Amino acid sequence: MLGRLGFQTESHLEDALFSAGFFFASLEIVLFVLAVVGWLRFATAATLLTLMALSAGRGWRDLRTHARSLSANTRESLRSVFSRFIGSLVAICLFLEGLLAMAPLTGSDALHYHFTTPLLEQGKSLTPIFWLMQSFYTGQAHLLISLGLSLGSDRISLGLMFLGGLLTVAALFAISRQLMSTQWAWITSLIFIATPLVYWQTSTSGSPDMWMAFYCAISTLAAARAVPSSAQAPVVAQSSARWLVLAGFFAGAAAGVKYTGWVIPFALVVYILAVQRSWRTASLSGIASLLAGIWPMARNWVWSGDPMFPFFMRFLNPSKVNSYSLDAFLSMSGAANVARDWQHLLGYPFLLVFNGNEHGLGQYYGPLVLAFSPLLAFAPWKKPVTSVAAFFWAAVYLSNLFSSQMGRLLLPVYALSLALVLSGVAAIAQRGWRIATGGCTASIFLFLVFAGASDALYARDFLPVIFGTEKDQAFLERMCPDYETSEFINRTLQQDVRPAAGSNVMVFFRHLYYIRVPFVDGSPEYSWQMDPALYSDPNKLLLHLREMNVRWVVKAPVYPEALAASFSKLEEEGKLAPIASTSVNNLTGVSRIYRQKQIIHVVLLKVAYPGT
Amino acid sequence: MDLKKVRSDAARRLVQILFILWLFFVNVLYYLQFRDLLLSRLGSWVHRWR
Repeated sequence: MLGRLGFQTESHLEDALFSAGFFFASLEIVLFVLAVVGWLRFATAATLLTLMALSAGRGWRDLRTHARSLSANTRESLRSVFSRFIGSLVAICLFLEGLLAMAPLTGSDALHYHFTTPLLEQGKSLTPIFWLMQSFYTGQAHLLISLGLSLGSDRISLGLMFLGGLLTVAALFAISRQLMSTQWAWITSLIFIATPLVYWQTSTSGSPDMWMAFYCAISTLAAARAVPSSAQAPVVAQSSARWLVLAGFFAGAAAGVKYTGWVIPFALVVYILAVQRSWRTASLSGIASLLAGIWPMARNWVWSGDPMFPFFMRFLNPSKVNSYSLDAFLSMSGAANVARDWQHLLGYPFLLVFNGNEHGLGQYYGPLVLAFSPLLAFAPWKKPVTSVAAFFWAAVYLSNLFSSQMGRLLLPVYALSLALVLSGVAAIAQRGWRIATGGCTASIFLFLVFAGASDALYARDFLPVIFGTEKDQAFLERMCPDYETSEFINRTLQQDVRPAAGSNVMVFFRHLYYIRVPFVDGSPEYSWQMDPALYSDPNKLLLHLREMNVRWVVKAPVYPEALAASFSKLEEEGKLAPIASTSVNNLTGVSRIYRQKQIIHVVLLKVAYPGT
Repeated sequence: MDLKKVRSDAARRLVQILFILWLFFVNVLYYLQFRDLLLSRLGSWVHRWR
């Protein structure tokens, strides 16, 4: 289809990347429509994929030629022994990440909402889940998770998340090839894929953020094609508007993944106005972005009156604000803790790398972008891809600096930043700056050893279950936070009490994916429906539990602080009566990689409503 | 002409040395922060070798 629209290039890799980006971004839009009307089931998903395959038509005949050319290009890029060695390491890393993606889901955010929300929506038309605020966070890439689930397995969903990482590496290689030699492009790809944050996001996290990085990278490639270099000027200038509209479509697809992504299409529009000086092209590109990524925001606007729920509720729908939940949400997203004094703003690049635990896990990017940043002066600034990549990087960095200061949210532009700083390293190596090049080589080597060892250590926990030497159940008990509590709830309510239709169990913990009985989250930190200001009176709380069809409450091990007094009072009055309890060894602390566990007492209580 | 070249070489060398110091500073500060994590993962090994 892209070929028919005149988007063919001389690079088979770029053609393949643009096709993949166009296919998946379009697929997400169609899946969104199916999800809205509640038709996203196995039969429709399978039919949709078949129809899309048929629509490729002549493309299937060309596939063999493309594959052959791509393979010849890859062989060409691996001609030297060194490139073959680095290329093999890239392949090993990708293979390992693909393997890890096949382990049962254990990523914290995924268990909380990335996978839980699509699971709750399976086979139903979309309705707001106000007791799980993060469900409003789900964007278009989450529909790939929904697709996997409707096809029958969360491993398909995890595989699709891995595919996002795989495509990002390929896009990074395509960008790097324009900025440096093939050998350096392979090194850049290896650094990227071995970076602990990328490794985690691509393999086990169950998060769709890598798709954002992929769309951002191909938006860069498409926008760079629109800028005429002197030799190509007559040919390229004619189609530059078209390429920028395609770049806008991909930028919109990136924005459709997460709210924070909207800075990417915004930056592209500003870039077009600054470089092309064309309002028409900028508008068309902006419209393409909206078409590609506006759908989750439109959904949120219809549901809550706030397209970026709950961030603007205080201004857009003040009568419906739950101040406690909103403040907790802003605090968790980093928005409430942003320091805007100039020392902090200037120090952020250092704090991000040296104190990442306080700044959204920025330490897991490694030190190389910061370390090599002075070499940006040597990057090939005359090449269009350099200026587009730098523009996107700067825009996302600045928006991150002033909005959340969460390093993890810089992932969409990490590939671009790496390509830019490594192009500086490649340039000084070419100039014969031997001392500086030696220092860079040593830093890269050190980081690759560190990242390789960390990745291998991390993989060690997952490999037994992947190779079948450990049962899924045992693995989940060992590695999945709140799994034993979920299993206790499932066991007790499925076998002993049998939940009646419309009856829910209320839980207060974070990792919800493995609960297999109807449930609601009652923690005010996660639930917009549990406002401590409204339910400090136990009787009002009891009434609210009835409205939410709550028949059981799980205390594991305590009630949420803001509602503890009301729940404890209900327990004292016998309106919450314990019916089962157990002790579980649960993962605790900020991250499971620290292997901190704690034995907690879990009590399942039945709600006794007056008159029942 | 030669003097210019010598000065330019010296300036280039100085810039490179400053850059190496910067790399050293960044790398040391970066890897130091993982002491706790490494001890939590490799604590048993460290203990074994004591």
